[in-house]
Amino acid sequence: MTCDGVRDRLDRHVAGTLDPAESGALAEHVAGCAACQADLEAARFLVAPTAGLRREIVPAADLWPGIAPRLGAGPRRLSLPVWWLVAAAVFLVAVSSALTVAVVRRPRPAAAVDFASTEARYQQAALAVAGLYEQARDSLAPDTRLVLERNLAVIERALGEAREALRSDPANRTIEAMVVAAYRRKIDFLERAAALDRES
Amino acid sequence: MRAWTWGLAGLIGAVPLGAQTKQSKAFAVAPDVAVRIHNLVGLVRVTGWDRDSIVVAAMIPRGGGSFFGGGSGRFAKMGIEGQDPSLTGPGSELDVKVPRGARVWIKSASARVELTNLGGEVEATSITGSIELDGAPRVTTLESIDGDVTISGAATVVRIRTGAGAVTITGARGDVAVTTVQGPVTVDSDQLLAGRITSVSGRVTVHSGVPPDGILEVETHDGDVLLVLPAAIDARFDLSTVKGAIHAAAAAPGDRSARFTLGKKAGAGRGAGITVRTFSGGIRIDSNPKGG
Repeated sequence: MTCDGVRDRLDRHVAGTLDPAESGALAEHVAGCAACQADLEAARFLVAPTAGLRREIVPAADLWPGIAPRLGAGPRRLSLPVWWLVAAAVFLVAVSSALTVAVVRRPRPAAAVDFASTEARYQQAALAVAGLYEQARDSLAPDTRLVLERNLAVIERALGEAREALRSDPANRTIEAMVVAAYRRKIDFLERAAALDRES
Repeated sequence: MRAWTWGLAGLIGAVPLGAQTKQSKAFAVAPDVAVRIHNLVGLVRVTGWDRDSIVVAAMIPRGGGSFFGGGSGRFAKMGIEGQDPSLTGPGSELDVKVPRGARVWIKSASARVELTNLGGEVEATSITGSIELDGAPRVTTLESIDGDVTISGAATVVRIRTGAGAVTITGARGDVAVTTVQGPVTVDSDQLLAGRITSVSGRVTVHSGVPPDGILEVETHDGDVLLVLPAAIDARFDLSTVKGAIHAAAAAPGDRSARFTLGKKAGAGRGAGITVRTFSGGIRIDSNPKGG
């Protein structure tokens, strides 16, 4: 299964409505793909917060009477002089060519670009779980908060060191894997920390 | 009443003992009863026995809360509620005997948890309390943020997570997965079928055999890793570190990664898969001349 195939099926997989054979193929792909693992974790994270949302929201006021008359009016025609359209076309070609040259002359490894998007997804997931912990934080005993945050500081330090090493050596896949592992630890620990409030 | 739906059979009584109260309860249950036990401060001691009944004794100091408990054939729940959060002395003690095959779930905050002779599924969580297990449950899941976790016995499926708590596993066989933040991990076993150990800064020491179809994976950030393996092991090794050092007979000094095989089976493409990854932790592979 490809990454696109995983993305198409992710929600049904998390909801448990995906065909078991497809679920198996998806799990197999995810096990070896850091980007899809990040997507899966983000999707799993969304299950609980979205479960309580209403299926539809009815507008407070009836807006249809205001919209209906405008639909029959038809599109407005824009009329411009020919010389203006030619100038705009030349300008667009010049700008897009300049941008293409700039991008091509500044090579960036494809792997680094891919990892940047993977890391962005992990950062998003970590931020969301950190928000849950913040909500739970006040109801935890001060000693418990201290213990949790001491451990979080250790995880954060390790993540910082791994990210710093990756900046110096952006093509190093081993360090990439360590950065991903550090994000996973952070997300996992924050989830546990947030759950302490629900369990107690 | 059907045999498996035996209910509460007897309340033995509540006896004041000076500054603390002792309460006891006993009731008949199914051999695979699911038991939930809740005691935040003090001690929870759970012992498996060869009877289809639960006997619980609670010792509750003044301010230590009140005991609740009961259940029917396949489900029982008990614990201490209303504990005074400012209580500074010892907390309440719960001593529970359950059928050996019971599925036991325990929730603690700082209470020490002691588990003995259980053969079913065991799950215990704590924040700062230590957890000790002696026996071989079918499935063991133990979590403590700051408390130490100790397992002795031939447990088969083990899942442990701690923060700063130290993890010590002796005698476990089968599938062992441990995750810590700062806590050191020590595993001493004859044979691990599958071991997965991760830590941020905890030192990891494994002293075990791994069968030819087994795996052992260790990953740390800056925790040192020491594997002491039988001299006659058949294994494929994949060791790598970003800033640490590798000490293994088959690795050259200064190498940051090393891949090699030991034993005839591994040379022929079989053998255990042993993988170690660290960021700056050292990796050392030693052989145990005694073989185990």
